Amino acid sequence: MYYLSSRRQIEAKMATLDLDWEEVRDTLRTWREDNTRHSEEVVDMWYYCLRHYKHKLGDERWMVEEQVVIAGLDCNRLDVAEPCLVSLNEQFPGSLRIRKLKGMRLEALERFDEAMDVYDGIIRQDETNSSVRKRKVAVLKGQGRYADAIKELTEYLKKFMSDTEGWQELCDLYLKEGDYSKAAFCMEELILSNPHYHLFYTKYAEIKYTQGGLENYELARSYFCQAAKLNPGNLRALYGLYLSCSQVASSPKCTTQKKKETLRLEAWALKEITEKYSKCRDVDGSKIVETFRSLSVTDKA
Amino acid sequence: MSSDITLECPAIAKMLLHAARYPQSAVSGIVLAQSRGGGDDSLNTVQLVDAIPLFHLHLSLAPMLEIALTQIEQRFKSQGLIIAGYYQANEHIRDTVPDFVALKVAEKIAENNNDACLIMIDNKRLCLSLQTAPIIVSQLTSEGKWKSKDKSSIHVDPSYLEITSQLLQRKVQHDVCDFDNHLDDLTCDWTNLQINKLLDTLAAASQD
Repeated sequence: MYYLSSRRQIEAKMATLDLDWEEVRDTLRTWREDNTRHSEEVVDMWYYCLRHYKHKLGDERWMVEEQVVIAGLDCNRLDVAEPCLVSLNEQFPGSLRIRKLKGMRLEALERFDEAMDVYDGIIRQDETNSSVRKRKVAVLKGQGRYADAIKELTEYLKKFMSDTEGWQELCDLYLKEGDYSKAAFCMEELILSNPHYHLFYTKYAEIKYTQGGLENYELARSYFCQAAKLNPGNLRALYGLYLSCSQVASSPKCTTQKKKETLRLEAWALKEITEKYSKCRDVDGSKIVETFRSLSVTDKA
Repeated sequence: MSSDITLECPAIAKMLLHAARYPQSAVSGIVLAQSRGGGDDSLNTVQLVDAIPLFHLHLSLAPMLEIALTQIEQRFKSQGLIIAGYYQANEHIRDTVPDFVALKVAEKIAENNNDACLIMIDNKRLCLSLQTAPIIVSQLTSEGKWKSKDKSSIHVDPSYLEITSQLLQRKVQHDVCDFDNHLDDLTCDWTNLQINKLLDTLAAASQD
């Protein structure tokens, strides 16, 4: 399976109109399976290539067309999205899945109240439909009604409490409102259900550090540490570890014994960071160490 | 608080390219100016010469912001450049109001620099063919409030808007690196020297 990975590669190919439709089909399939967002590329690949081969796609055609609808709505290319929506509707009349896409089209047109009605209608017919409930949160976000979005999402998570994506979204909404303690709670839920995912530990630590105070700096230090243990390549965890150690060590409430241990950890983090930069030939690592020396001097200024 | 603000090509271009690269997120960054040195208060203009894209994820978290600001200060000290302001594009297309993050960071910058600028990008006016600079610039009044400046006090040469439009049409925003990219991949250059070189070339060409 050939996977067109870089954007420049795709553009270069398109420029020479040297697109192999099978490569394009495989790339779109990979993006569907990974659930990653490449809306501009999907639209271009469909428009300049794959739509001329749609009859060769077999059953996969409908999943591709659905993907193109969503990508088109994402980039305000309704000229690309709408024809696909029409063919999907003809193929699957009365489908709730297609109706959701119609709701998303209304969202793209900023006809939010109508979109909300479409989603409420789908939920009445199918109470278990989780993705449509999340679209309602998206509508509220689209209207800038963040407090209502939080309320709606909190209600959703009471029913669908293992939805990782939902908890991440709620965390981000709380961060936007500056409610760090509730955002931290969301990350705690995520860590409980994903105890080996280093990025959740990192984000939790960053939130704790932002909240400030010795207890939070100590918590941040532990969680950055755990993140670095789970993934030694995580530069944010190493930087975070260095910073939280500095904060803990310079706190007047820190005991001498704890200070000694913390400074040792801080030195270790600095060593790891410097090593990472020195392995990277394009980057001047010496300046980074200079930076940190100045950080530790001016820290409590 | 000064009366006029000028934005050089790298400042306006990189700011807008950064925003265009992440249409689904809020983005933030720093703007740099030449340090005045020696109390030259007779000049009543602030000249923003460059922009450093910072984040497109979790703008409100402190640790990486602290690292970034310290590194930026260190990196540009030898060139005589200082941190002169903060820019942010909100997630919502119609939202140009600075949130608590923007205000906090801008205030921090203003502690060391009275003329610090708080720049909000007006997402709705960002397009492929820029006629005016889609930004709202604010500075601190003597009462400690951020006041947005009149459009007539903001100067961006039309050729810079033309160059930025060309870059947006050619989708150069995908080559812009911010600090978040750098933290994921050390080879990403958050100073974007390549883009600065490209801007120099285009500026020279437009003068011919």
